[in-house]
Amino acid sequence: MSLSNFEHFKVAIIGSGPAGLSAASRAAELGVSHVLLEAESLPINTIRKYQRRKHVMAEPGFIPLRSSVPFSAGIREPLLKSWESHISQQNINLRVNERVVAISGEQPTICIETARGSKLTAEFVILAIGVQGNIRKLGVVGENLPMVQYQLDDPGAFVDETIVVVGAGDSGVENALALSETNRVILLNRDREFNRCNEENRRLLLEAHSDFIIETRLECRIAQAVAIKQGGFPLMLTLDTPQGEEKLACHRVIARLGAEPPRKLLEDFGIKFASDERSASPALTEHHESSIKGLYVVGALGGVALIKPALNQGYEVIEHILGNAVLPADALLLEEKLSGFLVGKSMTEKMTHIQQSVPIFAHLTALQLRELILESQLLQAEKGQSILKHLDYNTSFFTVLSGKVQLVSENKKTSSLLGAGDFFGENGLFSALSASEAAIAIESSVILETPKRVALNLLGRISNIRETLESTILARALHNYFELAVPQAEIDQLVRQGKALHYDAENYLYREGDICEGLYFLKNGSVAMTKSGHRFGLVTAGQFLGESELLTSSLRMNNAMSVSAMDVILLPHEALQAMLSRHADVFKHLNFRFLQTLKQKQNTQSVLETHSANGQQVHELVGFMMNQGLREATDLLVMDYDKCIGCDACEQACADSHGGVARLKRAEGPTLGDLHVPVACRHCEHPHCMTDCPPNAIRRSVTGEVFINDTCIGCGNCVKNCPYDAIQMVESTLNAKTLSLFEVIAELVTGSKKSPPTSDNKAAKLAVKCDLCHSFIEGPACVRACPTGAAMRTHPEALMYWNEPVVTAFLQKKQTKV
Amino acid sequence: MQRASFFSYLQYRDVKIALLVNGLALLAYLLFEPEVEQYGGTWLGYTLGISGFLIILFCLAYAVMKRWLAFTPERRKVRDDFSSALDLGHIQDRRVAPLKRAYQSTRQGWLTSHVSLGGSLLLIVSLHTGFHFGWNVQTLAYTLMWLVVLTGLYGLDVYLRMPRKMTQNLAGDTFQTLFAKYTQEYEKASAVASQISPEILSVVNKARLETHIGGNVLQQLFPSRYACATERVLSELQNKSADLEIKHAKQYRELYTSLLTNTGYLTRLRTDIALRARLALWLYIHVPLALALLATMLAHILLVLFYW
Repeated sequence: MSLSNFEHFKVAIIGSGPAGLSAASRAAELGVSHVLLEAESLPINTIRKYQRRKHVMAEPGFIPLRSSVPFSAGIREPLLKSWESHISQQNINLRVNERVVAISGEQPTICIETARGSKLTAEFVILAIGVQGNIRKLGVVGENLPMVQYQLDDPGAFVDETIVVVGAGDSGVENALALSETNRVILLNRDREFNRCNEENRRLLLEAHSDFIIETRLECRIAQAVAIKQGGFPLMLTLDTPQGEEKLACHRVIARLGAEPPRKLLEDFGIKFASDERSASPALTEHHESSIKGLYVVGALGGVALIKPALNQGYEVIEHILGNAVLPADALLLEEKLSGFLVGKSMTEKMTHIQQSVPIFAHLTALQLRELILESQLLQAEKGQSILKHLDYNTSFFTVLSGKVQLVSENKKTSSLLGAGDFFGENGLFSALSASEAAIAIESSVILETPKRVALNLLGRISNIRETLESTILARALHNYFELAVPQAEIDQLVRQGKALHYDAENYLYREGDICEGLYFLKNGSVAMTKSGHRFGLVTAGQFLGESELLTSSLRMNNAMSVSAMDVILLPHEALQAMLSRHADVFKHLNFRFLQTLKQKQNTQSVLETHSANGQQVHELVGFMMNQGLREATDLLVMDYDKCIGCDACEQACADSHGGVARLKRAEGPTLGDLHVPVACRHCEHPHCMTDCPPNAIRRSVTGEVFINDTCIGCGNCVKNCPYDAIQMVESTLNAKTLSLFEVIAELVTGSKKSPPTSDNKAAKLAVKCDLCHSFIEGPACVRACPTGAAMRTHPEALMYWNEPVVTAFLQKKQTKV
Repeated sequence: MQRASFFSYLQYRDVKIALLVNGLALLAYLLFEPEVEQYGGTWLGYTLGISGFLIILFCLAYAVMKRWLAFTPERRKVRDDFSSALDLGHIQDRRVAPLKRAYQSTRQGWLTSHVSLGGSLLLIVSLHTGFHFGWNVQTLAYTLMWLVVLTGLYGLDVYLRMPRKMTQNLAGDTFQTLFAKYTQEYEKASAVASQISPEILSVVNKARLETHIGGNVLQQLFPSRYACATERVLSELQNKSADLEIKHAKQYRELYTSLLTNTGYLTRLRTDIALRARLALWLYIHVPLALALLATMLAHILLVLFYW
């Protein structure tokens, strides 16, 4: 049969979602011969499948709309209506019930066959079938039960049910919000934070959570679903939670786990994919052309699941096909972002350059890369400019695009040189730790600074990047650990042999007498070291654990217990031993260093004992610090009870500077002799409060203060998690009225305080804690208000010398570290 | 840890200033040979008098500054506005610049200055008088000055000594936790007493009701001089032990030790109150005297100006 017998079009568009419709509309507008094929009986199923009265968003706001199809944020129904009428007005050649089953050939004659047997040819084909045809399922026993559904048409259809919504992406959150009006809704999120939905949904969700409208469960997934007969609930779920297994009875599960491209089908068409990963998108050029000449892929199938960009893409592809040079809608923004990079080169060259020179970006599609760059900041660092200081708390991920950056570790022993394509600042992504290395530009460099949220979102979506990143972190840590040069290949081999393990809180990694199974690398969390019931140390994220036994090949000499839920990588003992036997110098160096540490420990101890009037005192002090967890602190409020006259000016000052509520309780808290530790935030090295904060409102500033920002939803998790009672829930009142000058004078003269005006409607309770007065230049109010100098802020290390007024100079040196 | 003495603030800045001022005054007094005799009317006398006056004003300013240094939002705003007005050059007068530092100062700084300079008044004002006294307003002001400074020095002594005593007395407890222990012990005592006899129970309950902690100023300051109902009932119980039934001996012992423990708690609670009272009481004398001093001193100055 000759191809000329088939109906021929210039453009065939497959799929009538936003992207396809926009392409067809533009083609119709320009009078291009076209056909729009839709598999179902009605067009625009993407929108039709949205839940009733859903608010459709026009994200991202910074990109302008470029399409013949009218669109703005609004409700599902009017939007559907306007698009339906648009189809008829534009005379779009729409054919429904045409499911495409085969595509063959390439430009200029691509042949399309449908399930009904229609055959047609086109010069160009635009594939816009989305991913909704290939929805991800729970993947556990019971995933196909009738009460487990993967779509929600009308939230109003369910009343007074207990519904478990799985998945905290946009659709999951939107379903949960809609269902919560008439049902009890429990939202399961497999992550620790809500990073996968957009800002607006996140805000709405957190509001609903704080108002107890929606229950949320973090780091939680369904392990099993069983239908039950008796009782009011037809479905019994087994949940996998950080605390262990848990049963939950409910009426219904709505799982919104996203969808994957129908890979099999696309590969049959001959389309190549970007990677072997399940969720990978087809490999596309920046003009959305696939590996088949003349076949374009747009919309969710191309990796962009938002309506506005999809509409833009449809439009742009038609323009491109017609040979009209058209820049993507975000081109100007991107241009501006990258203006300082590779000056004089074209946009395409710049993007290709970035993609090729940065290995972790290799897995990104061109569109994902654009998105990443649009949300990031481009830093132009001069030679010698410091980008990240040691001990800074940073919340960004840095990628070096050009130039050279040097990372210097704390002891200045090791430094690594980063060139184009390397990254740093990854600590902040996985743990709330301060930077372990300083970063300095050693020639003028261009660096991409990506906010934590954006980076995490990307890591969540593309597991290849996560793996690359994690092994790089480990390799870099090993490099720093060995201090001496070990061939990169051997380090990489070690990294590959590493085994990822997860520990829940208060589990033993090993106990005294256990066989040494290797060296642990702590990805996050921290480990308490104990020996015969005494806690003597804390190993924190980013450090190695178990060195002593590695070097002596002996049985474990103490216990290691996880403080909180944590992830580690275990490097097998044999592999390490083999490596060390090949590099005798490294072994000797590690051994020497270990002996050195032992000596230093002994030295500190004896310095203390000789200088102290009473060795017993030091012993007590150390015990006190251990028992009260003072070593965890980074900035501790202490009182010299030899000087404190109990006037509570500190509390008053704190209350005055924080809306009338003191964040410290002077009289409470542990006391040892004349050392008193009032109840106040200690700004722990690993803040317990941060572990379970749904809106991620607890932050650590660059200078180390842990504070709660105004996104707090008042869930009270941090109050429960703080072992030191340093956080309290307080009714948030409106800001006190500012007093007039006259009133201030009157107050001064009479000495009486005007009571702050209270608002009539009681506001929600929010968590408050000491923020080290970080917004005030004067520093902590409590310390400044103390008339006798009893109140002090200090690093716990300096406390070791509490009974040592003589060694002030030494101490002050110690304190400067704080 | 900077844990040296209260005066060590800013490397003993205020002590050094005070010593310098005193030294200069003494040197000038010894070197200066007046035409007639040493008294307030010579140029040195005037200089010393004016210095004393300024120091007194400075000391009084502590009361104002400690309020100004409060951290209320509006107070802070005034301070910030003032600082930024200076920074931006909106306030051109360079003479107010030192005030900026005052606004950013700490309370401890003001207190050490207050104490050091206040103490040096004793010498400066004495030299100013030239040691001429009589039944007049000058001598009244001079006497008041001494009283104010002495009460102040007493206060300093109290501030330096009492905290340690308080800490030792509370030994890790707070007043509230101690009081809770005391109440709990009495609950226990009542429970045990009810097992013995109604008579004993009423004795215990009566003692509990009649035991006072705190009270008027004298009771707060000298608690040991006042009879304690719990102690009284202890000796009563000792006497009553004669007609004790043997089967109640164990409970009786428990009751007795409970109350004995409570007398310990009571002593500590009352000591805490006494120490706090001593920390606070002197101010009730120091402040009114200071105000009286201000009034007489102003009268003295007016008189001098009048007769000039």
